[in-house]
Amino acid sequence: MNISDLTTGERPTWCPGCANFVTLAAIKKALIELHSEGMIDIDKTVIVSDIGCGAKIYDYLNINGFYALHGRVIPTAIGIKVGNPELNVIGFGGDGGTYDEGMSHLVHASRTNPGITMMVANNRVFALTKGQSTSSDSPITNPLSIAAVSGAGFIARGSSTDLDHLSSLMKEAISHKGFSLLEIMQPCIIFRNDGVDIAEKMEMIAKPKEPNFGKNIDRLHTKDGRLPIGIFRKEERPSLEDLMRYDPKG
Amino acid sequence: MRRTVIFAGQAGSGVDKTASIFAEMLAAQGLQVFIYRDYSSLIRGGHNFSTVTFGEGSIRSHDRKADALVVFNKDAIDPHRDSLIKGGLMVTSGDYSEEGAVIASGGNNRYLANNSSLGIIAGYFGLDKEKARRVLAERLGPTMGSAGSAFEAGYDMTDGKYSIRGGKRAIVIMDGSEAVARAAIDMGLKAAFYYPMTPATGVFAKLVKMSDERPISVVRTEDEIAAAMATIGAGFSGVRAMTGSSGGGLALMGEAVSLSGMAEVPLVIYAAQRTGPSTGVPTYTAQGDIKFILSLGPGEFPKFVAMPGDAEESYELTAQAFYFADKYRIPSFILSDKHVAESYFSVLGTLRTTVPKKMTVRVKPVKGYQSYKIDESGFSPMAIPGSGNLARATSYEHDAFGATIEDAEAIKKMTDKRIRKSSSLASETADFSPIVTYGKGSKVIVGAGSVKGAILDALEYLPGWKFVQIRHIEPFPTKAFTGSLKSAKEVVIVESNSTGLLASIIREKTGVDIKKKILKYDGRPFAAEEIVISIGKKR
Ligand SMILES: Cc1ncc(C[n+]2csc(CCOP(=O)(O)OP(=O)(O)O)c2C)c(N)n1
Repeated sequence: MNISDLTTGERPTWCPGCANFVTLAAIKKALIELHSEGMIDIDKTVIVSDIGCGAKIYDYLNINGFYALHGRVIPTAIGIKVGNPELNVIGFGGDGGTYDEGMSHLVHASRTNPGITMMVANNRVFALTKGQSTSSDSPITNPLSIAAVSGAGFIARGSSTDLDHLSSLMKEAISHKGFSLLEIMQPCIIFRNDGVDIAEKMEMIAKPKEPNFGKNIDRLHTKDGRLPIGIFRKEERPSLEDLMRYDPKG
Repeated sequence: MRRTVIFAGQAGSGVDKTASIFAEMLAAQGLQVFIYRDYSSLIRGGHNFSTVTFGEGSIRSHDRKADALVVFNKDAIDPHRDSLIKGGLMVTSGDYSEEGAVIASGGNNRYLANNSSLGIIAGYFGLDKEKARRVLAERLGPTMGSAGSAFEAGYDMTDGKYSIRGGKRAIVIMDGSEAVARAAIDMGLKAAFYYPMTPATGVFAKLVKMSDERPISVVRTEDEIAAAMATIGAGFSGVRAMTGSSGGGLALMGEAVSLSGMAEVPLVIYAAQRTGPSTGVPTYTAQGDIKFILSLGPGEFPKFVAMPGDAEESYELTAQAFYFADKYRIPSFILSDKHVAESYFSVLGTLRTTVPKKMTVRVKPVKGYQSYKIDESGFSPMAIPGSGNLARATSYEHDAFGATIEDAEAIKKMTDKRIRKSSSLASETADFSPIVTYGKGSKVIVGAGSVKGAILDALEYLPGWKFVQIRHIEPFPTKAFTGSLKSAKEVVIVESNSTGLLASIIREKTGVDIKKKILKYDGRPFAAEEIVISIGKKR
């Protein structure tokens, strides 16, 4: 499998230079590597998309996909996973959809631990509706911290300014058994063009020796104006579909 | 001959359980039974009652006058004093007395007093003692102990005014909720998602119980939006799934209903009406959401909406809802209400459906598969992820492969394709009895859903009248309906709402304007007697 297999004939309608091109390239790279490493079967992989600029990824990724509703990626993905636990289900949403419209789904998925991955392109604006600011624009809001206290087993943050690192985080998130949340920091070059600011505040956090990424989680809750990038927690526990009865093989 | 017993007392004192055990005793004697359950939105205290009407012939609704009244506390007497016929039996228990009443043994021990009351009633109506005892033993199990002797002592406390004997047919007592759950299981349900709301919860409580022995997942989600979206997700993954709610909960599902219509992913919704609008009266019945369900979800897209009138139909129409949902890839509704969901009906024989049980999905790879293939019928099987076909579904307007489009011609083409499904659907649903006519006559009563039982029982007192029941509201069976009204001398419609919503739909779909309406909107279901009296007045 190569890049062209994962590419549709659709021409992206993102603005020239948009950070979403990086995210698209990073997910293609991650899927190709996971597939060739035997970690996933692409025929059994589904993406679920929100509505928004980032969500347009549905049209450009040539794999099973469900272009769902604004804020409702997580429950749709959960339904797919419960319906067929053998599928790899990967959600894509913006910060508007995931942290505003659909916030309660994030909190509850963190608790119930469905085996799905949620990727949130955080540009701190509702871009597709022309740049109104979202709740995560405020320094008071810390959605990853909320997911952490709600019990999310895998929490990570990457940035569109580092494609390779972002792609490796995507692989980790998709391979995690249970709910995984990956936030992707992105500038919106039209409405929130702060790429330089993001790059300056970024701070790679190291992979510690302790299990479950130890004290990394504390970095998530500290408000020192820095932007920690990396994996904050990686902890396995029984997933929602494990606890449910339906088994396609049984 | 119809006989009626009212059981009344505080919530939590065993009114419902005692009444349902009595119903099973009656069924064991080959008698048909109907139980209307009246209770408030509270857990302990208050006033609950169950009206048990039974007889040798067909019993499909409850009567308001009672031959016997069994009360579990003093406060329960007054609300029902006038319902007891002259010379009827009153059974009390506990530390109060009432002139002429028979006092059950057991004193303030509710468990003993309830079973003693059961014995008194069984003896009074002359039920076969041994058969009744066996039912009690089955229901109470090994814990029966002293309840058995309380029942037996009670049995001999009156002289036994009646000697009721039933037929030989096996009768099963079942509420509408259980019938819906059983149909779902029989149709191969694999996942259900819900958020509790009376009176829809009954189905999901049953499914939770049934999931102990079956490989199905029942998930209580964080809200109704999540429940509907997850149901769509499960449908997309290739399994039969369902959700359900009432009033406000269904309103929250509107966007998902529209998504199901656009993305052409099946969605089965059990919609149980209660008295509205808004929070309304949670534990009482109504048919106030018929138009709301028909128009639920923005945009134009086909839907299937069926209204069951009893337990057997709840089973049959639920099976249909599943079948049409995935074959046509549409949202599909079982539109019930509190009265059908929570009343106990007598099911004769086995629950049946004529729809094929297999889910219509594509599991084998097809060359050049198109998720939204444009053809005559407007529908083709949906491919599921992992089938070797690219499974694509979308809420945006799309081309045949599911890619987003905005150009004028393509929008029109895809809209036409979706809407074409309505006619394909209508021609197939026509084969599944969307209209059923009962009785013969030149005068017609029209109704749908929970009014069925009372109308059927009323027909026995209304020579010259027949009942035309509308079972499918969407697609509306225009031809069959107008046919059934041909040469009718008089037409009356019966509805549990204040404005005649069904009449208005009929006018829209057929041009027939039914002016004579018998409407009830106090949360209480119709009794046959009310319909007989109203018809007399309307003429
Ligand atoms: C229920 C609903 N509300 C509002 C909208 C309108 N809407 C479309 S895109 C969008 C903003 C998306 O913002 P975000 O999720 O941050 O993604 P971005 O466009 O920034 O990538 C909104 C509000 C919608 N489609 N559905």
